[in-house]
Amino acid sequence: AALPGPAPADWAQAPLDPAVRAVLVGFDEHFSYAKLCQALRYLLRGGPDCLLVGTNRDHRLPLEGGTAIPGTGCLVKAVETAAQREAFIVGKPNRYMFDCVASEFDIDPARTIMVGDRLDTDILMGNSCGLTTLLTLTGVTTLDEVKGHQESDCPTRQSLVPDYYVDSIADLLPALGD
Amino acid sequence: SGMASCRRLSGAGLREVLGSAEGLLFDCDGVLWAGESAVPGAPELLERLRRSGKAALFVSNNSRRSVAELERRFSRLGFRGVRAEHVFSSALCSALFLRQRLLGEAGNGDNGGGRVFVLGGEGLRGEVRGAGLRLAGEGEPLPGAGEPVRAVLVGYDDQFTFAKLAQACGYLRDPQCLLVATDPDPWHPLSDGQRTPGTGSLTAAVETASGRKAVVVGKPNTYMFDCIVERFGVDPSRTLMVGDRLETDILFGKNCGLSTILTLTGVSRLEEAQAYMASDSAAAKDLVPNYYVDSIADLIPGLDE
Repeated sequence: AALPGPAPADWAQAPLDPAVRAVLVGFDEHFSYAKLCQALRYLLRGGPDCLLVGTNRDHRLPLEGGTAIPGTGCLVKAVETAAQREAFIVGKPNRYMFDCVASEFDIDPARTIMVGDRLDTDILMGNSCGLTTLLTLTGVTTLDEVKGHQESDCPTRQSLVPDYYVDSIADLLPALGD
Repeated sequence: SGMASCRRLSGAGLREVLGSAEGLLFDCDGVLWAGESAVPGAPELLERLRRSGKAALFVSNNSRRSVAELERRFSRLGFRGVRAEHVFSSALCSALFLRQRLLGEAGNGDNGGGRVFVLGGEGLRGEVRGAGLRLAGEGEPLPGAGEPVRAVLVGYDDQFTFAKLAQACGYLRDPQCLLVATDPDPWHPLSDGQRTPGTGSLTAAVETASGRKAVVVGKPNTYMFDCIVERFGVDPSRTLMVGDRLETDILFGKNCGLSTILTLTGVSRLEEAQAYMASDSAAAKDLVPNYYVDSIADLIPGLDE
């Protein structure tokens, strides 16, 4: 619904939908201060009875040509900061999506491989969920980054290190029978 | 010295504390006024301070208004004798900070220091221009054809959009481009008890997207106090900080070596100060005020007739 008036004091008078029980923050290229205001109003009205959920925390979405645009994580952070509370994050590296897959299909983590190109989402989730992790180098991560984590003393960085890597997932073909 | 003890300021203690002070620094929102109404007795307090020969200066994290607008606001709400030069807003001090960093001591020759991309309203933009800096426009394609953008300034921006966030991040890919925020406040109270998001929430978005940490000009950081000392030469040991927000005003006072008075007409509740006092954390102790009053009108009896 359109917000009355040009200023936050006006927006704060707009009626709130009594049925709203969750604020969900996803990728929103039309994100604005006015929407942030409304999110804050619902969260304050509902307190712990209003969920705050974020689809993921990615900082940046890479575009072709090496540039990037802000990711959903930025918008989640804005809402969390204003509301002074933490969002439940659905996406990788959190395990919720793995739990969804595992509950729908009979997955044995010990016999499942997670394939991804990002250490802090794909590989971290795979490692946290007890999967074998395989990094492919066709995306954002370089081998040098992995080596840096491998050589560090920090356990958090160690959890970003995959079990295996390939230059591309096409490299998996020879292992599969004709 | 040990932890502050959050004592109610009244009677003989009040006369002693005010008697030995040369001046007071006041936060504005929630201290002098709430919305469009002065706190009852606040204009009289300032008048009595003037007559007692004590200085009153103002230090506000609110980056919406220029100090010229604030001077008019003081007058409109019934406060006499407050001039723009007495008012240190985060908008003004951010502009001064950027002037120092971009134009430097001796100016920057033909380079002119570069441009500033401001996420904020006209009050903030005016202070930046007033400091001799040029602004980058919204919606300019990158890389810009004009002078390089040497700083992104995040302030209170009720017209903040994803597009502006993306534009800011484009400039911040240059590691030489500064990221500055006017203040860290996560939200501000509205007159009906609701809250509106603050600069802190917008800064969090820019920091997350750019991978950079902002330099925050406003309270509780001490830069605004440096600006005050440079202009008026106050002695921290003879100056009191009066504010309503523990995490900004009281911590600012602690960081600048000022004794602090919490007034209860604004954001923070007495219970919160007491909780900080009871906490085991060293950081929490710094948020405990030396004194508190229900309203700054309660300071009036501490001054001579």
